[in-house]
Amino acid sequence: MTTFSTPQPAVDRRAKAAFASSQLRWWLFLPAGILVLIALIGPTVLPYDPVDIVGVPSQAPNADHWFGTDQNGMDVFSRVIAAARTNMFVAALAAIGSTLIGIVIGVIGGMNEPVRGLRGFLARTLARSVEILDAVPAIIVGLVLVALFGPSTTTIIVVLIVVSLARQSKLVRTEVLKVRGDSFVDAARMAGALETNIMFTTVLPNSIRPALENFSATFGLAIIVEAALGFLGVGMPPPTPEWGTMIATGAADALNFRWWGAAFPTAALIVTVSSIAIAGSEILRKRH
Amino acid sequence: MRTWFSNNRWWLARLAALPLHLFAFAIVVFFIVRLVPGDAAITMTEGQASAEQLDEIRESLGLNEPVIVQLGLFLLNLLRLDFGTANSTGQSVFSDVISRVPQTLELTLMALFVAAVIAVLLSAAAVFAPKSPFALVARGYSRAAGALPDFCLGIIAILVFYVVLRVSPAPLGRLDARMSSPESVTNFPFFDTLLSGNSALIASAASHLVLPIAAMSLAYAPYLMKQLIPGLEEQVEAPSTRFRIASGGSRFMMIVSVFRRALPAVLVVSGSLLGSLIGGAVVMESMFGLGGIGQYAVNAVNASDYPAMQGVLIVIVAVVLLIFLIVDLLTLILDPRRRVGAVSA
Repeated sequence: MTTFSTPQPAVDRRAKAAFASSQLRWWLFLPAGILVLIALIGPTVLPYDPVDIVGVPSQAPNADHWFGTDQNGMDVFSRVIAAARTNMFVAALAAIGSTLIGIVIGVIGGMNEPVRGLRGFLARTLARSVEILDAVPAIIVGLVLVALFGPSTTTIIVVLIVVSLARQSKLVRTEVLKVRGDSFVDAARMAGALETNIMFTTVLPNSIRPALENFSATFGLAIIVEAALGFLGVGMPPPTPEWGTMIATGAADALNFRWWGAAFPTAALIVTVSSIAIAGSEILRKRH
Repeated sequence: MRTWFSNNRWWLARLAALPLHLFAFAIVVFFIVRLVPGDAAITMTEGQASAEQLDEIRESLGLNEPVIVQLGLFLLNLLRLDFGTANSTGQSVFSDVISRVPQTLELTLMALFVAAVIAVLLSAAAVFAPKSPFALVARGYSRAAGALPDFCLGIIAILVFYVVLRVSPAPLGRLDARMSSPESVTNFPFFDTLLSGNSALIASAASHLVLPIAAMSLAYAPYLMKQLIPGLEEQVEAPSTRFRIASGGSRFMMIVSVFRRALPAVLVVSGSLLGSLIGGAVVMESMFGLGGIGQYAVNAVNASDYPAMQGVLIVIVAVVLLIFLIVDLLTLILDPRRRVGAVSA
């Protein structure tokens, strides 16, 4: 909307800004890319075995042990790098799983909600349960569930899926409720498409966008919750390298004024979560 | 004809739904605990009990009854607020948990309050003084939502202020080890300390709370700002602001009115943040040794104390649902258009 009263420089600036914002700023994906590389090849080029005692316990960072050694004598640097794979792999599986399940629940629930009878009742109950699940603090539910079923990689992935699928399903459901009344859905129905086909081939592709947009946030949150569970003592069984557990042992050691055991895994966690957030917000940024 | 009931349906329905949701959740919790592979009696005693002892435990937990009878008993006990006995403390789970809820709630609310203050100040700087360096910092910081995990900030705070600078007390409790806690009046520990009027106690309690609250509020303020800054910007452009400018209102009046119109949206966000904040408080409690639900849950987990874990889950959900209800009702009071079945004026 350019009017003659608009001062010329303002328009120029706006045009310039519009051009700049239409470009994908690829360098914002570098941190996340480097992290993925570290997770993939890092564990194969470690200086020390991450699950073995390799030196005198509680050494401060030095030339041999760049990040020092923890109270058991394991090399902190090797463990931080090795944990990148564990943490990101588990969180990635959890984010993918919760997004897929969330989409299915959201579409099936959203499409069936207005139906009369048992089907509609079940769908509405599902929507309410998802809302409650979304309200409950993920860390407490995760803590109790992992404790009940025993800490293992599978349990942790399943628990992370359970605590993060509610948000994804809610986002899809809201979109389904909007899309459901659109004319192309009616068109498909009038063309004689089966209700299941409408659900999965017509409505689903048009309502999953919010969940996909939320994927990076889900991924970041999964990493945080996973590490928090490890910190609370229900993470991967020791000595598996895992940032949360390492932070917990490091924090206990910090009371003896040894900072390195906790500082490096914490830094790794923050760098990871921030990199994912940066990459995610760049994907989300509107470019027209 | 409009009756009292239909006029008040918007809050009556919500109030009635709360116990229903809680009941449904309790049933889910019951079945989850029953789904656990292995024998609960063996897990609880860590395989160190004789066959007769195991039988006794099964009998006392009612594990020999059919599942449906167990469920009935469980729900009946729930109605009488009987969650069983915690093996780890030997006390009734309900009184254990309820006496710890205020501790967690106090920490959560204090953190939320500080986060709100930070968010309001920084958002005001970002919107009303867009050229100042504060605005840049504020906008950058508001983008950090979700990238600053609360427990990482907590660890950093311990490392910086306790390990390196040695200015804060050891993260091992709410008071110095030499001090005894004041007599509990309200069960809210910091409030009780304030009530005791003992300045040494208050100073110690405050110094133990500074780091966890700072960590939590710094982690969650960006979420509020992400909502507040666009809201404020929208309201700055709104016709009512122009009207105030046109009629010569003071700058202060303008800012107040802009905030008043932008706040309801933020209230909704802060309500949904409370769930995450309680989760964060749980971690902070075990990191700083503050007691409360979090530490109780961790202890219950370490002792494989099933009744206590069940109780924690149910009470936490009750608290969260209650908070959501209050936030919900507050928003509806502030904005009657959202009410279901509201009659448009």
